[in-house]
Amino acid sequence: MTNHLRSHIFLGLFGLLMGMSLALIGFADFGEVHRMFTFADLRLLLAFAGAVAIIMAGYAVLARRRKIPRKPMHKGTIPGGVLFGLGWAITGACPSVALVQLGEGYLPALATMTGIATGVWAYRLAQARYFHWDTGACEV
Amino acid sequence: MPIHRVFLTIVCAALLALASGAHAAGSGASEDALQWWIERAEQGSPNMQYGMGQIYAMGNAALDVQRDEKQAAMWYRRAAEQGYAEAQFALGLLHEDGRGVARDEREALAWYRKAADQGHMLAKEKVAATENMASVPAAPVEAEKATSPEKAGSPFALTFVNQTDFWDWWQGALALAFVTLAFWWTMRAPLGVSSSWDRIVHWRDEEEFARKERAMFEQRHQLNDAMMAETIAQFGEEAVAKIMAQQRDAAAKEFAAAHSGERRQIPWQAHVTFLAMMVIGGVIASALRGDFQLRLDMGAEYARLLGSGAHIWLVLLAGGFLVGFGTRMAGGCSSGHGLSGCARLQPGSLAATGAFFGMAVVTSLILEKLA
Repeated sequence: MTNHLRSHIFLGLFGLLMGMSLALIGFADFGEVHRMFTFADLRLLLAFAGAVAIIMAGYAVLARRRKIPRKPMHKGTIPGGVLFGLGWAITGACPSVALVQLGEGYLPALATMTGIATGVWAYRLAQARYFHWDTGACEV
Repeated sequence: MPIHRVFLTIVCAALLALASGAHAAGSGASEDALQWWIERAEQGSPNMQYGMGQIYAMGNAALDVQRDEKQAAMWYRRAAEQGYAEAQFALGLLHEDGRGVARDEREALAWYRKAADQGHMLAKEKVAATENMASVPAAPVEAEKATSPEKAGSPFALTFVNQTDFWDWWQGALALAFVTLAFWWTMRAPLGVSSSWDRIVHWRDEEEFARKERAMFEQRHQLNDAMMAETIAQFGEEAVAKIMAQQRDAAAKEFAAAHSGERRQIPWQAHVTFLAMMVIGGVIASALRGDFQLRLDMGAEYARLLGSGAHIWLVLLAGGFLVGFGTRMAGGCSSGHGLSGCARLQPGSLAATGAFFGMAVVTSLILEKLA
């Protein structure tokens, strides 16, 4: 099996599991996400926090055998997070959820997806022309 | 309704089995799944008890369970007594028909009323039909929250009796954690969806880069030969040839390492597969849940907060732009920073997650005020 085929199969499988999980938890439902952000319902928040706790335990066990990549802080970290938070609150979508929303039949998510693609493209342009931040990210 | 709940639980049990590394085949797995269910239900989780009721009410070949309405009624009753609307309605149906329990229309009506009080639509119809009323005023969501004993009080109570069609929080936590860890373990890179977008959007740059790298290597080969020839001419063959040959070997090894796929083993096309399968995942999940529907709106809550009409496409486009720009600027999104990064206690990830979550909370509260 070639490296390429292997990548397609595994990433396809993970995409499917990720998409199904997000949909079944309710992350693609704008109302549920809004209730998470207004603390009207803690279900999604607990799901997220619970996942982080389990992953933390998983890393602690597994990381002895594999290197864990770093995520250093740089000048764009906080302002970038703020822009993302604003976008998430008014679209109900993070980069994966926009796709799941489309899968659930919400066609306006196509607009969100177009926006995400444009934003990703515009950021690299802005970084190259204006920001020139050292993000410390060698691995993509 | 009932079918999809059973489906959901089977999918969830399958994920859990995967997560715990259990891959027992055949009857062993189904017994495990049933056992797992019974344990949760015995511990008092009303939606698990309701689920047990569903399994017995219909029988389930996959779990090797025979149809048994007495058992179904027993489980429904346990969930119903905890205020679980679906179970109250189901128990009402059994009492109305006298299946698994004594036939008792007054008892049936009492359970229908309890479910109707919590906003259960079918129960309301039953109550309306029995009382021969033209219509029952639809209880708004607020009334539903106020009348439900589990929903009153602290928001934590809301969380533990999940009355949505979605997974419980712990099922979601297990699924997300499983995907994140399995991704990292197999792909040797942390899960991060915004970087998949980045790779796809910039596929042209990537192809260009690979092409240039190849061209440079070919030229470097010639360059090395030329330099070696020149050096030999100046310093004599014997002394230099050995060193130059060593250097060339080193360069060849470096190139081989760079192109063997170790450095960037995931081609950008696989990220297209990744994102496309997320869409498929959404289709499958909503089909299982029974609410798949192509629609031009974003749901009732979206309409309440941001209006409905053509302008929402523009709002979503602008919001999407912020999501794309912001996640790349912060170097990750809710998966890369939030799930993968926070769990590694990476300072960048903690800061980014705090920033995007905080901003989303502030924005959502403002939207709520303006609505």
